[in-house]
Amino acid sequence: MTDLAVDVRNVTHRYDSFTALDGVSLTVPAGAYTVFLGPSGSGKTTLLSVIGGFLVPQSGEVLINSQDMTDVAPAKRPTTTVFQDYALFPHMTIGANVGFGLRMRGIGSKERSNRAHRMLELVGLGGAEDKKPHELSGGQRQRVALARALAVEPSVLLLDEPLGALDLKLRRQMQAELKAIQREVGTSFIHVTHDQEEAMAIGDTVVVMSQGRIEDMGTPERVYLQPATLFTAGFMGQSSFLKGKVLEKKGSVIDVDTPCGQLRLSAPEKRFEAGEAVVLSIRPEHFVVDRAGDDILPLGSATVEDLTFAGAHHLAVLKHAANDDFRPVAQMPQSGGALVGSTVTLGVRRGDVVVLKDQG
Amino acid sequence: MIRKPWRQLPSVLYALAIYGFIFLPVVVLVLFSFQDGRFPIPPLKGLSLRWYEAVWNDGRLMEALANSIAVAVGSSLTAVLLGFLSAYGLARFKLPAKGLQRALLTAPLTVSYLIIGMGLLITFNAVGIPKSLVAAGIGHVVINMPLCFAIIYSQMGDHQANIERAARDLGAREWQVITLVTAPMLWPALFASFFLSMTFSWDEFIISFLLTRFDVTLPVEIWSLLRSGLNPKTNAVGSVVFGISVVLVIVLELVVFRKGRRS
Repeated sequence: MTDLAVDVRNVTHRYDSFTALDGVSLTVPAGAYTVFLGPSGSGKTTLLSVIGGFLVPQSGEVLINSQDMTDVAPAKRPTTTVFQDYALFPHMTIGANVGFGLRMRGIGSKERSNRAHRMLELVGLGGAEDKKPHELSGGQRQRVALARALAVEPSVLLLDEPLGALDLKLRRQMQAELKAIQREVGTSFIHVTHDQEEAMAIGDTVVVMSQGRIEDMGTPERVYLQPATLFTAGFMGQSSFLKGKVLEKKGSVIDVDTPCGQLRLSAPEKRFEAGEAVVLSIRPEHFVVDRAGDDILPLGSATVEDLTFAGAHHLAVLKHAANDDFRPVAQMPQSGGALVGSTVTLGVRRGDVVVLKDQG
Repeated sequence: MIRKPWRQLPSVLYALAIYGFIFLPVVVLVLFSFQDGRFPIPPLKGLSLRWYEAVWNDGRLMEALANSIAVAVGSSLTAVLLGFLSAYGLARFKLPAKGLQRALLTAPLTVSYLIIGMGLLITFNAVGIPKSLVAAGIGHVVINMPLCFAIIYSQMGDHQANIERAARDLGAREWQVITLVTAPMLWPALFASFFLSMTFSWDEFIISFLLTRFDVTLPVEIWSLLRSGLNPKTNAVGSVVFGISVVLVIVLELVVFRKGRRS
């Protein structure tokens, strides 16, 4: 276990009556790109502050490179942070900004400007040394903040919603660049965001947080396709939920009674008891409309209530004929699909349904 | 809109009256400092620089001028330093009774200079500090520090706090954060409060009068000159004081201007 960059053990932190972190434990492998994803107030930024040393948690431990860093000041940690508002030094040139950390480490000015130059080239801003921060655009300042944080060669780079202030196009471009830079330097990156598309696009590992707890953690594919909890299924992408009750369990196959009929589902790795309340989570693209087959579970018929064009496809809000409360959102073809008001038969491929515990 | 010039006449007259009221005394003072005669009263007998020459050759006045500059620079530097450090402390750290501490720091702004001067006189007497320029300088720190604090504190936002955090994150120690990041970032506020303090200290009479004895500041020396009656020399030295105040205000204005243009 020597290649753990960060090891957070049972960290709890409260602000007055608000619990920002509630017994959080996680490990971040060295050299990976990890994303903390969650809505505001989920504790993701607090967790980043605890790792960066800006906040000492009320209980629990933080190990960085296997050393206890819980009470160590940010200056003495092998971490640096890229702040949301960039926090560049407005009175210094770009070169002095990037070289600041090296200056604090007592590195001579020649070596400093060499390394600052290399860092600026890495982020695509070679030659901007003599400019001042206010002469740069938002995206360029973002790169300077990144170069400044990387210049001191941290073991872990912390990024606090680094792309939050950029427009969508620039944001998608910076995502790709961040990922490329991370691969090039090999430093562990921990990136906080509330944008699930960003998290999926950029992360080797996605950590989904809600209300101070870790809801799910894994590769983007695993978290999207097999979310561990109801919250994860709803937050990471879109999902339709169908409540049900387990009737019988035979190995990894369970029979679930739902308002849309009795369904036989596979639930590998998860243990459900007969009589237990469950929720079936289905992604819009996993619904099968007006088609039958051996591997397709029929879900009955539904009326199209609303259609939204999403470029590559349409998204339809449906109303189930037998169950008014079930309003699934299904992906429909780009053209030639059902119209608003028409009735369709709904199905889903057996393996695509995710069975989750009903948490109330 | 139809222009009716005669309608604007009252407001123009009113404006002229206000500016006359404000500036006429100063204009008269400056004008008669050039009086080519023995009395600073009309009629103006001609223009001459002889009274300025007299000021230049008056050892006591020139000494007082030097004293005033020393007190103004010394007390303003001290006031800015103390004001900056207290603003930094209050803005960046969790302190007990923060609101009360802030109120206590700014409270001297509301106390009259006479009361502050008398209080310091009695205190210095009790402690055994003699009347001197240093004592007057301390008095000027007392009146200017709250102002410096208020100006600098108002400029310390959360954005700067984040920039200081970034400096610490990159390995800066506390003194490095203050000298390399906080103070340079607040440079316009520091500069403005320094020059404002200079202006106030330069003009200040009552505290200097109460707290100095042998070496005095220029306003105190002018006051003792006035006791022997009006003469164009007092006008000349008054014009010098006014001129330097104007320069300080212009410098201050330029700093505020620059800041306004940048943001």
